[in-house]
Amino acid sequence: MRTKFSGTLTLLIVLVVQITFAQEKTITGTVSDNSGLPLPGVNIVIKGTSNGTQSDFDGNYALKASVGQNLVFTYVGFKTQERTVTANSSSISIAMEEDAAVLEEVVITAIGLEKKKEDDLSSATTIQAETITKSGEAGVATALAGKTSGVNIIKSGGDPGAGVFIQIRGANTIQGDDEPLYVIDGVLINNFNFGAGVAGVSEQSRLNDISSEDIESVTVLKGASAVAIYGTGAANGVIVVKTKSGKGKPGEWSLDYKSGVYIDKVNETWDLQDKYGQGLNGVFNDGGGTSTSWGDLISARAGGPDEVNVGNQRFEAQDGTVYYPIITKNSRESFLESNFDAVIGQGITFEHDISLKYSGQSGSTYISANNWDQKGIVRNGSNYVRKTLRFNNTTNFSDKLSAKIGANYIKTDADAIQTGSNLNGFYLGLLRTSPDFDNRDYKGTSFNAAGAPSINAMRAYRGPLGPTSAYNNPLWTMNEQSNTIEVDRFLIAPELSYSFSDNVTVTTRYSKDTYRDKRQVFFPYNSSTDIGNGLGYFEIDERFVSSQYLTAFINSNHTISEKFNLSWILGASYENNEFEQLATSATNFSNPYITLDDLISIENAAAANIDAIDSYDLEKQVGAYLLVNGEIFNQVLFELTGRVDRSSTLPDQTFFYPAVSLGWKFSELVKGSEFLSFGKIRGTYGEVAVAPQTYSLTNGFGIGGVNSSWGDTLAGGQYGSTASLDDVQGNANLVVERVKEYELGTDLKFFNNRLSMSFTYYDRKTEDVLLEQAVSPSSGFSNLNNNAATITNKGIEFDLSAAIIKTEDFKWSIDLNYSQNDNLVTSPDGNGEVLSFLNGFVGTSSNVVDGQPFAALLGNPLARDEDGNLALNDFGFPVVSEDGEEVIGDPNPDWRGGIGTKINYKGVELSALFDFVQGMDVWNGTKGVLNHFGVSEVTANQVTVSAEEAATILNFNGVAIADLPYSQLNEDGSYTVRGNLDDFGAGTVLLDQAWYLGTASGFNGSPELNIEDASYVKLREVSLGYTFPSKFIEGIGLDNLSFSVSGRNLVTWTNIEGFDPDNNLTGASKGRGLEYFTNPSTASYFFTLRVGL
Amino acid sequence: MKNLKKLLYLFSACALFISCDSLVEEVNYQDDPNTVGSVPTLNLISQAEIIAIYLTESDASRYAAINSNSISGSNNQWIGYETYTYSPADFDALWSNIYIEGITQARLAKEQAEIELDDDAFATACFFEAYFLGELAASFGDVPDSEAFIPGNTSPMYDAQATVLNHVQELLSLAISRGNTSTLYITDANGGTTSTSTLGQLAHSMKARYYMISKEYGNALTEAQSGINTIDGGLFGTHADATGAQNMWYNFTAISRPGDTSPVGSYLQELIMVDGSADRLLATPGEAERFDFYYRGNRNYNNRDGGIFDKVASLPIIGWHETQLILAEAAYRSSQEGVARTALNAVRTALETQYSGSFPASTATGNTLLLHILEERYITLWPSPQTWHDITRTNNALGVPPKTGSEMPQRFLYPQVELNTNSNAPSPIPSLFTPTPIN
Repeated sequence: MRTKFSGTLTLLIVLVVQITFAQEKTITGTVSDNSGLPLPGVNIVIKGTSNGTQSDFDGNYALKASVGQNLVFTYVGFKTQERTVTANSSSISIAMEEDAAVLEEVVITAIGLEKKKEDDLSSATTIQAETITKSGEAGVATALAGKTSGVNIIKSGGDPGAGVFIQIRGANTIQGDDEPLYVIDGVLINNFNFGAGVAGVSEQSRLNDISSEDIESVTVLKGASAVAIYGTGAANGVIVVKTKSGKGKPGEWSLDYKSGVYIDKVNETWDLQDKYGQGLNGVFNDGGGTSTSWGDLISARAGGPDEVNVGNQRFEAQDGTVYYPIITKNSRESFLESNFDAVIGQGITFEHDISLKYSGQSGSTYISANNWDQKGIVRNGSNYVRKTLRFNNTTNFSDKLSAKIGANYIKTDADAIQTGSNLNGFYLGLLRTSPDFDNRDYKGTSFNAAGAPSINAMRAYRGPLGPTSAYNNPLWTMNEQSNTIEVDRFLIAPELSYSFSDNVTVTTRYSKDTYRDKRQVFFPYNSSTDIGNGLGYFEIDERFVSSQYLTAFINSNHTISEKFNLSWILGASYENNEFEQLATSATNFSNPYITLDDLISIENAAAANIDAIDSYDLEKQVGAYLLVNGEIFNQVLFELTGRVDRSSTLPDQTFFYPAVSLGWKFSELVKGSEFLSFGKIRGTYGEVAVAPQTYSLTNGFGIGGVNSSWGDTLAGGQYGSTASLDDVQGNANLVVERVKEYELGTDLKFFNNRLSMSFTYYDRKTEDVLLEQAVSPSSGFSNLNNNAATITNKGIEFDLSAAIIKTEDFKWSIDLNYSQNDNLVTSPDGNGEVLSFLNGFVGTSSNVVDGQPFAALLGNPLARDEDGNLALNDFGFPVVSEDGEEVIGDPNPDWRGGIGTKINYKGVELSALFDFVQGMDVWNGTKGVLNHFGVSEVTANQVTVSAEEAATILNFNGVAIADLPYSQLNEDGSYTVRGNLDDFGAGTVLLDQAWYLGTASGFNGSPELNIEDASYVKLREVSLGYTFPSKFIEGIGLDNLSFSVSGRNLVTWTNIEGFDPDNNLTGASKGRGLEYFTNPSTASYFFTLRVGL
Repeated sequence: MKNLKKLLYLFSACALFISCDSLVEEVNYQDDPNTVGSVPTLNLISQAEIIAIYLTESDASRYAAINSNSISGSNNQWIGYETYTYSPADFDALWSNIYIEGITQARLAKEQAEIELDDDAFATACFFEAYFLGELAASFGDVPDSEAFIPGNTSPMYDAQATVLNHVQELLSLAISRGNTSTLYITDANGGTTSTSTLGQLAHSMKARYYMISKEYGNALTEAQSGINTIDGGLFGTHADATGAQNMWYNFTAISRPGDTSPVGSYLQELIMVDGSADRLLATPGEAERFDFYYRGNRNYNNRDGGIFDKVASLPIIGWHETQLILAEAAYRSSQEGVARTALNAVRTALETQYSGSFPASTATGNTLLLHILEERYITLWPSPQTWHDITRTNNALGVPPKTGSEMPQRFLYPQVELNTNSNAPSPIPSLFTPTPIN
């Protein structure tokens, strides 16, 4: 009764009020943007109430308001406007004004909703499409370098399509994926990373499948609190990509076309010598597979043609040139340059992109096609062609029901070149070649001493008469071998959204991302021998990857009072990832004459030489999440998140993880200040739980077999029924790994938003880190799945953006970012043990070590005495320690930063981006090996010493200069010898072949000698563009026309010689800081034309 | 608001639903589809056989051949080994393969054999386990044994070398007591070993070998006398031309690492080359023929058809020649010179038949007879690591010249993988030139 009465009373009062005060009337109007185009979706609220509406697709609105009330028009990216309802006004039309400062300050939250940066409590940063396409990189992953704080981009080399590794803040997980999660338009996409070893071909990054032209913005969510919504996968941060929609002129189709031409060249080259020939001990020798160039002085040769032994044994090249065994090397020719030019030239890429946009009454559509056709700098066999089609559509069936669909088809075709540490490696074969050997006649027929021919034979410096060689001739690598990678990928993501009321919406999203990755490797007969025994190798490797993601959530907003509003999201998600691999290979070709031009078939080998493998990895996860956020007094922001997960990899455990954020927009206190336009401080705490890798709880038996570390193998399958217990021991006691992070930060804007900056401090700790803990092999296992480490990452991030000059015609802005991260791994045992091997070689590798930063470099140091001084041998030289490996380098940078600047004058735009990465180590394994072979420039130095010195200065083996067979006695009694003089503390010594083949060798020497500071500063991008004023082009029916000329990676300032310090041999893996004959990196010039109609 | 409530119910229901196990538990999501849970004994012994072939032909054999100056390192890392520049990581693969692939499988096979009541399997597994432990102890000194492959123990302690060698004898005694006449597993088509002897005979020869290494010459003599008694009666690893089935020395010298090592310049080659820089104590014209079996005309390895490193060449894991030469030396050291000479000359006669060359009998006595025996072992047993064990055991009585300096390597370095992980591993590690306890 009581209730009824009060309800009636309320009604009555309202009625009275209506009658008494209301001069309420309906206001109608149109909202447009500053170019006069209707703006749909603008919020129009009566100030001080929660009454309001939104403009429709024609920008029209209607609402009831009373005279004297103020209408507030708000729209993300535009300045808020207010209009007062007067007695006369029945129509209020308004032109919204774009707010440049605000426009760039929209972040996309994890769930895929837009949010004003000002209201965001995380340290998220957003990168606009323009800066991504300007990078000249094929893929979005690569294009992020230097553009925002806290993001570390590591490349695997300059090969077309080569993948990158992206790390946010620092490494915080050891097993499984260490890269951020990729979310496109609110759904997960698969960025499965096949890792990378020290050989083979560069792996691609599947994120690069997304055409940069389709991207509207990329938001990087760094902190744990921001990512809890996505669960386990988000422990390493989230990269949220928003693709373009059909936004444009309402009711009209518009078309954009882009054409780009990219010209690539090598940006770093090795300093090689051409003074000394192939051989050893100062004597020419090209027989017996001689690998070194410690031979004779080329200029001291007689000159003219070589004296040869004309007989049966010979090599007949394709052009008819005949090579016989050399008796006396007379020729003074050097082929250093011609060998290089024979295989490396200019790369060229053509990009075409066409997109259609439509937005109308009931939705919008975006359709695009992109073709990226890249030929690498290696003259043959290195290319990457990507074709993408995208279709995005939003349809509003009614005010309540809307649907979206995003579909993407991508086809990539690549042919890659063998890289790194393998006998078929491109750079390995090229750089080791003696300068007096001409690589160009690389193929032909080889005749042995009995005159028997081998056709399709290879000629290389370690096998000058064929039919094969210990290392491939690089021309053989690029012309006769192939490594194709063909990927067909389809992504489809439908979304349905239903608004139950003004403030409650239910959204369901599904995505299916599936691809086939088909690889073929073909090494013809007579290829260098580490794969396929030099008797031919053919492999077909098919990988099927399928990811499904389903999420549904309720999204609700409540304005509790003028001073308190609240919104919440409650959702659930399901994720299923499947991986299958089927591969087969044939060695020892039945028909040895098969070449790349022929029909290549797996059946071209005896049954015993055909091998097949299959492999499966299946994983599921379900979760539920709740997110509540709100604003109090228009200045205090809060957000609470919680998530519960279950994973198929840890089936009996349910794990919960929370996050809480708090922020205060303190600038509300000093509103209207000329100096401070905006100020906010924020603090967050968040956790993310990470489930173990698949099949970590148990271990079983696989097929047997054994490998030595030198390539000789006994395959279990060749020996009947064999079985071997998994080397990695399962562990039923595993628990989830947990990332816990505190973050404190501030976002500030000054001088009417002209200067904005963000500062964040974070302290992230990963507890119970899951890893394949290295255990003593005598325990019967190499590793144990275990929660056995803690990783901490502490750091700061700073972003600044300043519009220094901002006039109608002239604008100058600077963007700056800085990040610093300290990483430390500790183990419960805490005795400095090696926890896990990441990548690398026997002798030098990147590892997880207790008490060290992640990926620490381990290797055999130089022997030292108790005081830490070098322990020298009897002749005054350092020697390699026999006591085992120690940490010799830290590949993590101390800090990184970027400075970008942009100047606009009328239609002209000039921009540049500098990228700083400082204070990290690299193991330059290539240098050590080039020294060993005597092909590096430093090894070709000559020193002249007096007779007295020649009698006392010893080499590494203790031989005095005067007694060396390769020292030369001059007329004045002095001696000249190839080498360098040095003093390690026991007097002057000669660094000659004995030293470079000894302690300084890249093979058996100390890697400590090849640890270098890989700090660099790069002119990452520079671009000059011109946009034609519309008055010039309207006449010819164009909407816009612009062109630009740009450069990518043009200048690098670094102490590193020979390679780009930006690269990493084991790029797309967790191993860091290793360089070993990585294929050359590139710089590019490119030209872009854009036309819109 | 009503709608909202309904929705909340719906979502709660969903949340309950997803927490159901059925959604995350499914075939192939928990059980690894790439492995199986259990296997027959046969498969485990087969894997142990493969490891025995590896131990005979691969890493251990090559490093030992450098250490005994039977080959030369000539390229890449092997240039360093030529000057005895080894680092612990060089021994990672050897150690890991023996423990993880060999001993683990042998011990699992023993457990499984007891369940299956299969004495042949148990005895065969003991035999291979003994071989693995024997070579580890001989090459490294103290090694984990009693705590190796114990569930939950990730840092096994190191047993004293002598204790391990005792255990080797116990295992071989078990092999003899449980499977003296067995031939099943060592001759079947699985695993790659073959022999015309019984497991008991092989085990006696193996006992003799490790008694030699522990310098128990009397026991060695007795065991050798019960060991392999036909010239072709050794235990051989078999090979085929197929990839993954080739002789590992062939693969290493012809395919994987041609040129990294070479016999040229080695003491062994100089010793048997007609005009080599070293001469045999026991003049042997037949070395010219043996040279052609070991080497090619260019003095490189004979990895061609019919050569010692033919791609299908079978090398003995333990053989008649070694058994006879153990008998010879053990008899000599037990003051039975006649028995010693007879055994040596039996080998000489067999070689004469094998190479169709002249291998005159030794008539020597005293220390010369011993040197004749050691010299024959040095040449005939190549590429077995036993030639290097002889050098460390006899304090290089034969006088094989070191490659550099004045010392011969006495042991393999403890591997980096152990130093990284096992708190019981020796620290600092003994150097290459520190003799193992028995020496």
